[in-house]
Amino acid sequence: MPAALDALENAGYNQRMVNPREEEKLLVAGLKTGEEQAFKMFVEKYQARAFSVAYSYLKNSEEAKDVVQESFIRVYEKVSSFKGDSKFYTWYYRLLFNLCHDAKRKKKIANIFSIFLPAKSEESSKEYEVVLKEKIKYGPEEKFAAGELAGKIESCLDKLSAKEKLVFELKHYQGFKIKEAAVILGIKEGTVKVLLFRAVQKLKKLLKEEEI
Amino acid sequence: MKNCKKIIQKIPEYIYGELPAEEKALVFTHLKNCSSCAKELKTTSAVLKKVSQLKRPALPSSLYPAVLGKLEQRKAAAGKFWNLPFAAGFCLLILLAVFSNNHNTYSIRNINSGNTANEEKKSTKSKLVAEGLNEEIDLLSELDYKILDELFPEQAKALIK
Repeated sequence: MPAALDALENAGYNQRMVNPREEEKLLVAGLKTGEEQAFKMFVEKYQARAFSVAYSYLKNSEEAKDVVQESFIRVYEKVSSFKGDSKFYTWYYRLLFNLCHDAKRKKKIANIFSIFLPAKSEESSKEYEVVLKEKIKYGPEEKFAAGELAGKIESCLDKLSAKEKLVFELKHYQGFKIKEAAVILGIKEGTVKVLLFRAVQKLKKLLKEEEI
Repeated sequence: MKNCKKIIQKIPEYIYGELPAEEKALVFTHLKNCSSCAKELKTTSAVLKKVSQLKRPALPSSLYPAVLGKLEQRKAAAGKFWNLPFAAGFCLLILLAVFSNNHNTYSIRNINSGNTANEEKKSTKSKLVAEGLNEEIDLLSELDYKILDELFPEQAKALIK
Protein backbone atom coordinates (compact mmCIF):
# COMPACT_ATOMS: atom_id res chain seq x y z
CA MET A 1 0.00 0.00 0.00
CA PRO A 2 2.71 2.53 0.85
CA ALA A 3 4.22 1.69 -2.51
CA ALA A 4 0.88 2.55 -4.09
CA LEU A 5 0.65 5.76 -2.06
CA ASP A 6 4.23 6.63 -2.92
CA ALA A 7 3.38 6.25 -6.59
CA LEU A 8 0.49 8.66 -6.14
CA GLU A 9 2.65 11.11 -4.23
CA ASN A 10 5.34 10.92 -6.90
CA ALA A 11 2.69 11.73 -9.45
CA GLY A 12 1.99 14.97 -7.58
CA TYR A 13 -0.79 13.78 -5.31
CA ASN A 14 -0.77 13.82 -1.56
CA GLN A 15 -2.82 11.72 0.84
CA ARG A 16 -5.59 14.33 1.09
CA MET A 17 -6.11 14.21 -2.64
CA VAL A 18 -6.67 10.44 -2.61
CA ASN A 19 -10.34 9.45 -2.49
CA PRO A 20 -11.07 8.42 1.15
CA ARG A 21 -12.56 5.10 0.03
CA GLU A 22 -9.55 4.43 -2.14
CA GLU A 23 -7.27 5.40 0.74
CA GLU A 24 -9.05 2.98 3.06
CA LYS A 25 -8.70 0.17 0.52
CA LEU A 26 -5.00 0.88 0.14
CA LEU A 27 -4.56 1.03 3.90
CA VAL A 28 -6.29 -2.31 4.42
CA ALA A 29 -4.26 -3.88 1.61
CA GLY A 30 -1.06 -2.62 3.24
CA LEU A 31 -2.13 -3.91 6.65
CA LYS A 32 -2.97 -7.31 5.19
CA THR A 33 0.49 -7.63 3.68
CA GLY A 34 1.99 -6.61 7.04
CA GLU A 35 3.74 -3.47 5.83
CA GLU A 36 5.13 -1.44 8.68
CA GLN A 37 4.50 1.91 7.03
CA ALA A 38 0.83 1.05 6.54
CA PHE A 39 0.55 0.04 10.18
CA LYS A 40 2.16 3.30 11.29
CA MET A 41 -0.25 5.29 9.12
CA PHE A 42 -3.20 3.36 10.51
CA VAL A 43 -2.16 3.93 14.15
CA GLU A 44 -1.53 7.64 13.63
CA LYS A 45 -4.76 8.12 11.74
CA TYR A 46 -7.00 6.33 14.23
CA GLN A 47 -5.36 6.86 17.63
CA ALA A 48 -6.91 10.20 18.63
CA ARG A 49 -10.50 9.26 17.86
CA ALA A 50 -10.06 5.75 19.21
CA PHE A 51 -8.66 7.13 22.46
CA SER A 52 -11.57 9.53 22.76
CA VAL A 53 -14.11 6.72 22.25
CA ALA A 54 -12.33 4.43 24.72
CA TYR A 55 -11.98 7.23 27.28
CA SER A 56 -15.68 8.08 27.09
CA TYR A 57 -16.48 4.44 27.77
CA LEU A 58 -13.89 3.66 30.44
CA LYS A 59 -13.49 7.11 32.04
CA ASN A 60 -9.84 6.39 32.76
CA SER A 61 -7.07 7.61 30.49
CA GLU A 62 -4.53 4.87 31.31
CA GLU A 63 -7.06 2.11 30.73
CA ALA A 64 -8.24 3.82 27.55
CA LYS A 65 -4.65 4.03 26.31
CA ASP A 66 -4.05 0.34 27.04
CA VAL A 67 -7.25 -0.70 25.28
CA VAL A 68 -6.44 1.41 22.22
CA GLN A 69 -2.92 -0.07 22.03
CA GLU A 70 -4.39 -3.55 22.31
CA SER A 71 -6.92 -2.76 19.58
CA PHE A 72 -4.11 -1.79 17.19
CA ILE A 73 -2.26 -5.01 17.94
CA ARG A 74 -5.47 -7.00 17.32
CA VAL A 75 -5.91 -5.25 13.99
CA TYR A 76 -2.35 -6.17 13.02
CA GLU A 77 -3.01 -9.78 13.93
CA LYS A 78 -6.56 -10.14 12.62
CA VAL A 79 -6.83 -7.81 9.66
CA SER A 80 -6.75 -10.83 7.35
CA SER A 81 -10.20 -11.77 8.71
CA PHE A 82 -11.61 -8.43 7.48
CA LYS A 83 -13.60 -9.42 4.39
CA GLY A 84 -14.62 -5.93 3.35
CA ASP A 85 -18.37 -6.52 3.95
CA SER A 86 -18.46 -3.32 6.00
CA LYS A 87 -16.29 -0.24 6.08
CA PHE A 88 -12.91 -0.84 7.64
CA TYR A 89 -13.34 1.86 10.29
CA THR A 90 -16.68 0.48 11.49
CA TRP A 91 -15.02 -2.95 11.71
CA TYR A 92 -12.19 -1.41 13.71
CA TYR A 93 -14.48 0.54 16.07
CA ARG A 94 -16.57 -2.58 16.63
CA LEU A 95 -13.36 -4.37 17.68
CA LEU A 96 -12.41 -1.44 19.91
CA PHE A 97 -15.86 -1.35 21.46
CA ASN A 98 -15.65 -5.08 22.27
CA LEU A 99 -12.25 -4.57 23.90
CA CYS A 100 -13.62 -1.66 25.96
CA HIS A 101 -16.53 -3.85 27.01
CA ASP A 102 -14.13 -6.64 28.06
CA ALA A 103 -11.92 -4.18 29.95
CA LYS A 104 -14.90 -2.85 31.86
CA ARG A 105 -16.08 -6.35 32.71
CA LYS A 106 -12.60 -7.32 33.91
CA LYS A 107 -12.47 -4.15 36.00
CA LYS A 108 -15.78 -5.04 37.63
CA ILE A 109 -14.48 -8.52 38.50
CA ALA A 110 -11.19 -7.03 39.76
CA ASN A 111 -13.17 -4.60 41.92
CA ILE A 112 -15.05 -7.48 43.50
CA PHE A 113 -11.75 -9.14 44.43
CA SER A 114 -9.97 -5.86 45.29
CA ILE A 115 -10.93 -6.25 48.96
CA PHE A 116 -8.30 -9.00 49.15
CA LEU A 117 -5.58 -6.82 47.62
CA PRO A 118 -3.60 -3.92 49.13
CA ALA A 119 -4.81 -0.43 48.15
CA LYS A 120 -3.38 0.73 44.80
CA SER A 121 -2.23 4.26 44.15
CA GLU A 122 -4.08 6.13 41.43
CA GLU A 123 -1.64 9.02 41.38
CA SER A 124 -0.12 8.20 38.00
CA SER A 125 -3.57 8.21 36.43
CA LYS A 126 -4.46 11.50 38.08
CA GLU A 127 -1.22 13.07 36.87
CA TYR A 128 -2.12 12.03 33.35
CA GLU A 129 -5.57 13.60 33.69
CA VAL A 130 -3.89 16.84 34.75
CA VAL A 131 -1.67 16.74 31.67
CA LEU A 132 -4.74 16.23 29.53
CA LYS A 133 -6.60 19.11 31.12
CA GLU A 134 -3.62 21.44 30.88
CA LYS A 135 -3.53 20.90 27.16
CA ILE A 136 -6.61 23.14 26.92
CA LYS A 137 -5.21 26.58 27.62
CA TYR A 138 -7.40 29.06 29.45
CA GLY A 139 -6.79 32.06 31.70
CA PRO A 140 -7.36 31.43 35.45
CA GLU A 141 -10.97 32.69 35.51
CA GLU A 142 -11.91 31.15 32.19
CA LYS A 143 -10.22 27.95 33.31
CA PHE A 144 -12.38 27.85 36.43
CA ALA A 145 -15.59 28.65 34.56
CA ALA A 146 -14.82 26.21 31.76
CA GLY A 147 -13.90 23.54 34.29
CA GLU A 148 -17.09 24.11 36.23
CA LEU A 149 -19.25 23.99 33.12
CA ALA A 150 -17.45 20.93 31.81
CA GLY A 151 -17.95 19.23 35.17
CA LYS A 152 -21.66 19.96 35.11
CA ILE A 153 -22.06 18.73 31.55
CA GLU A 154 -20.02 15.63 32.40
CA SER A 155 -22.24 14.90 35.40
CA CYS A 156 -25.34 15.30 33.19
CA LEU A 157 -23.87 12.86 30.66
CA ASP A 158 -23.12 10.42 33.46
CA LYS A 159 -26.78 10.36 34.36
CA LEU A 160 -27.68 8.87 30.98
CA SER A 161 -27.97 5.10 30.73
CA ALA A 162 -24.85 3.29 29.47
CA LYS A 163 -26.38 2.68 26.03
CA GLU A 164 -27.71 6.22 25.69
CA LYS A 165 -24.31 7.59 26.63
CA LEU A 166 -22.53 5.39 24.11
CA VAL A 167 -24.88 6.29 21.28
CA PHE A 168 -24.61 9.98 22.13
CA GLU A 169 -20.82 9.78 22.32
CA LEU A 170 -20.54 8.07 18.94
CA LYS A 171 -23.04 10.36 17.25
CA HIS A 172 -22.41 13.72 18.85
CA TYR A 173 -18.74 13.72 19.83
CA GLN A 174 -17.28 11.27 17.33
CA GLY A 175 -19.52 12.21 14.41
CA PHE A 176 -20.44 8.68 13.36
CA LYS A 177 -23.56 8.22 11.29
CA ILE A 178 -26.52 6.44 12.89
CA LYS A 179 -25.95 3.50 10.55
CA GLU A 180 -22.28 3.25 11.56
CA ALA A 181 -23.09 3.54 15.28
CA ALA A 182 -25.54 0.65 14.85
CA VAL A 183 -22.83 -1.53 13.27
CA ILE A 184 -20.27 -0.61 15.94
CA LEU A 185 -22.63 -1.31 18.82
CA GLY A 186 -24.21 -4.35 17.16
CA ILE A 187 -27.76 -3.00 17.46
CA LYS A 188 -30.49 -1.97 15.00
CA GLU A 189 -30.58 1.47 13.43
CA GLY A 190 -34.05 2.06 14.89
CA THR A 191 -32.70 1.34 18.38
CA VAL A 192 -29.88 3.86 17.85
CA LYS A 193 -32.44 6.51 16.81
CA VAL A 194 -34.58 5.83 19.89
CA LEU A 195 -31.55 5.91 22.21
CA LEU A 196 -30.30 9.13 20.63
CA PHE A 197 -33.70 10.79 21.03
CA ARG A 198 -33.93 9.67 24.66
CA ALA A 199 -30.40 10.89 25.37
CA VAL A 200 -31.15 14.32 23.91
CA GLN A 201 -34.43 14.60 25.82
CA LYS A 202 -32.77 13.61 29.10
CA LEU A 203 -29.89 16.02 28.55
CA LYS A 204 -32.35 18.81 27.87
CA LYS A 205 -34.07 18.12 31.19
CA LEU A 206 -30.84 17.65 33.15
CA LEU A 207 -29.19 20.81 31.81
CA LYS A 208 -32.32 22.76 32.70
CA GLU A 209 -32.18 21.39 36.24
CA GLU A 210 -28.50 22.34 36.50
CA GLU A 211 -29.39 25.79 35.13
CA ILE A 212 -26.82 25.57 32.36
CA MET B 1 -50.76 16.89 17.61
CA LYS B 2 -49.98 13.31 16.60
CA ASN B 3 -47.87 14.68 13.80
CA CYS B 4 -46.06 16.98 16.24
CA LYS B 5 -45.00 13.98 18.36
CA LYS B 6 -43.51 12.28 15.31
CA ILE B 7 -41.76 15.48 14.22
CA ILE B 8 -40.26 16.03 17.68
CA GLN B 9 -38.82 12.52 17.58
CA LYS B 10 -37.17 13.36 14.27
CA ILE B 11 -35.58 16.59 15.52
CA PRO B 12 -32.20 15.14 16.61
CA GLU B 13 -31.84 13.37 13.24
CA TYR B 14 -32.88 16.59 11.53
CA ILE B 15 -30.20 18.56 13.37
CA TYR B 16 -27.52 15.97 12.62
CA GLY B 17 -28.52 15.92 8.95
CA GLU B 18 -29.40 12.22 9.08
CA LEU B 19 -32.86 12.41 7.53
CA PRO B 20 -33.44 11.35 3.94
CA ALA B 21 -34.35 14.24 1.59
CA GLU B 22 -38.12 13.53 1.60
CA GLU B 23 -38.42 13.30 5.37
CA LYS B 24 -36.24 16.34 5.78
CA ALA B 25 -38.56 18.35 3.55
CA LEU B 26 -41.60 17.16 5.52
CA VAL B 27 -40.03 18.16 8.85
CA PHE B 28 -38.94 21.49 7.42
CA THR B 29 -42.48 22.31 6.22
CA HIS B 30 -43.95 21.28 9.56
CA LEU B 31 -41.48 23.39 11.51
CA LYS B 32 -42.35 26.38 9.40
CA ASN B 33 -46.01 26.08 10.30
CA CYS B 34 -45.80 24.85 13.93
CA SER B 35 -44.45 27.25 16.54
CA SER B 36 -44.24 24.68 19.37
CA CYS B 37 -42.18 22.26 17.24
CA ALA B 38 -40.02 25.16 16.06
CA LYS B 39 -39.43 26.03 19.74
CA GLU B 40 -38.49 22.40 20.40
CA LEU B 41 -35.97 22.55 17.56
CA LYS B 42 -34.48 25.72 19.02
CA THR B 43 -34.09 24.30 22.54
CA THR B 44 -32.66 21.00 21.27
CA SER B 45 -30.11 22.85 19.12
CA ALA B 46 -29.14 25.00 22.11
CA VAL B 47 -28.67 21.93 24.32
CA LEU B 48 -26.48 20.21 21.73
CA LYS B 49 -24.42 23.36 21.32
CA LYS B 50 -23.86 23.59 25.09
CA VAL B 51 -22.92 19.93 25.31
CA SER B 52 -20.38 20.46 22.50
CA GLN B 53 -18.41 22.75 24.82
CA LEU B 54 -17.22 19.70 26.69
CA LYS B 55 -13.72 18.99 25.43
CA ARG B 56 -12.81 15.40 24.86
CA PRO B 57 -9.42 14.26 26.21
CA ALA B 58 -6.60 14.25 23.70
CA LEU B 59 -3.55 12.03 23.51
CA PRO B 60 -0.38 13.87 24.53
CA SER B 61 1.81 11.80 22.20
CA SER B 62 1.70 9.14 19.51
CA LEU B 63 0.92 5.60 20.58
CA TYR B 64 2.88 4.10 17.69
CA PRO B 65 6.23 3.50 19.50
CA ALA B 66 4.46 1.79 22.43
CA VAL B 67 2.28 -0.31 20.10
CA LEU B 68 5.31 -1.34 18.07
CA GLY B 69 7.17 -2.31 21.26
CA LYS B 70 4.27 -4.46 22.47
CA LEU B 71 3.91 -6.05 19.06
CA GLU B 72 7.61 -6.97 18.98
CA GLN B 73 7.32 -8.48 22.45
CA ARG B 74 4.34 -10.59 21.37
CA LYS B 75 6.12 -11.73 18.24
CA ALA B 76 9.18 -12.73 20.27
CA ALA B 77 7.05 -14.58 22.80
CA ALA B 78 5.06 -16.34 20.08
CA GLY B 79 8.28 -17.58 18.45
CA LYS B 80 9.41 -19.43 21.58
CA PHE B 81 7.87 -22.80 22.33
CA TRP B 82 7.95 -21.98 26.03
CA ASN B 83 5.68 -18.97 25.76
CA LEU B 84 3.52 -18.51 28.84
CA PRO B 85 0.25 -20.30 27.97
CA PHE B 86 2.14 -23.23 26.47
CA ALA B 87 4.52 -23.43 29.42
CA ALA B 88 1.67 -23.21 31.93
CA GLY B 89 -0.23 -26.02 30.19
CA PHE B 90 2.88 -28.17 29.96
CA CYS B 91 3.70 -27.70 33.66
CA LEU B 92 0.13 -28.54 34.59
CA LEU B 93 0.29 -31.78 32.60
CA ILE B 94 3.58 -32.79 34.27
CA LEU B 95 2.19 -32.03 37.72
CA LEU B 96 -0.95 -34.02 37.01
CA ALA B 97 1.11 -36.96 35.75
CA VAL B 98 3.41 -36.88 38.80
CA PHE B 99 0.59 -36.57 41.31
CA SER B 100 -1.54 -39.27 39.74
CA ASN B 101 1.48 -41.60 39.69
CA ASN B 102 2.30 -40.82 43.35
CA HIS B 103 -1.28 -41.37 44.33
CA ASN B 104 -1.31 -44.79 42.63
CA THR B 105 1.98 -45.82 44.28
CA TYR B 106 0.71 -44.60 47.62
CA SER B 107 -2.52 -46.52 47.24
CA ILE B 108 -0.67 -49.71 46.24
CA ARG B 109 1.72 -49.26 49.17
CA ASN B 110 -1.19 -48.72 51.53
CA ILE B 111 -2.90 -51.84 50.29
CA ASN B 112 0.30 -53.86 50.57
CA SER B 113 1.19 -52.57 54.03
CA GLY B 114 -2.40 -53.04 55.15
CA ASN B 115 -2.32 -56.66 54.00
CA THR B 116 1.02 -57.35 55.75
CA ALA B 117 -0.23 -55.80 58.99
CA ASN B 118 -3.42 -57.83 58.82
CA GLU B 119 -1.46 -61.00 58.23
CA GLU B 120 0.88 -60.25 61.17
CA LYS B 121 -2.05 -59.35 63.38
CA LYS B 122 -3.83 -62.51 62.40
CA SER B 123 -0.72 -64.56 63.06
CA THR B 124 -0.22 -63.01 66.50
CA LYS B 125 -3.87 -63.54 67.28
CA SER B 126 -3.86 -67.13 66.10
CA LYS B 127 -0.69 -67.83 68.10
CA LEU B 128 -2.28 -66.36 71.22
CA VAL B 129 -5.38 -68.42 70.60
CA ALA B 130 -3.23 -71.48 70.18
CA GLU B 131 -1.56 -70.74 73.52
CA GLY B 132 -4.94 -70.65 75.18
CA LEU B 133 -4.90 -67.05 76.09
CA ASN B 134 -8.45 -66.44 75.03
CA GLU B 135 -9.32 -64.36 78.03
CA GLU B 136 -6.49 -61.96 77.36
CA ILE B 137 -7.41 -61.90 73.69
CA ASP B 138 -10.94 -60.88 74.48
CA LEU B 139 -9.66 -57.91 76.36
CA LEU B 140 -7.39 -56.82 73.52
CA SER B 141 -8.87 -54.70 70.78
CA GLU B 142 -7.68 -54.60 67.13
CA LEU B 143 -5.65 -51.48 67.83
CA ASP B 144 -4.04 -53.07 70.86
CA TYR B 145 -2.70 -55.88 68.71
CA LYS B 146 -1.18 -53.43 66.33
CA ILE B 147 0.41 -51.39 69.13
CA LEU B 148 1.65 -54.50 70.84
CA ASP B 149 3.27 -55.74 67.62
CA GLU B 150 4.79 -52.43 66.71
CA LEU B 151 5.98 -51.11 70.08
CA PHE B 152 6.89 -54.25 71.94
CA PRO B 153 7.68 -56.85 69.32
CA GLU B 154 9.92 -58.84 71.67
CA GLN B 155 7.37 -58.90 74.51
CA ALA B 156 4.71 -59.89 72.05
CA LYS B 157 6.89 -62.74 70.87
CA ALA B 158 7.55 -63.69 74.49
CA LEU B 159 3.86 -63.65 75.24
CA ILE B 160 3.23 -65.91 72.30
CA LYS B 161 5.96 -68.29 73.39
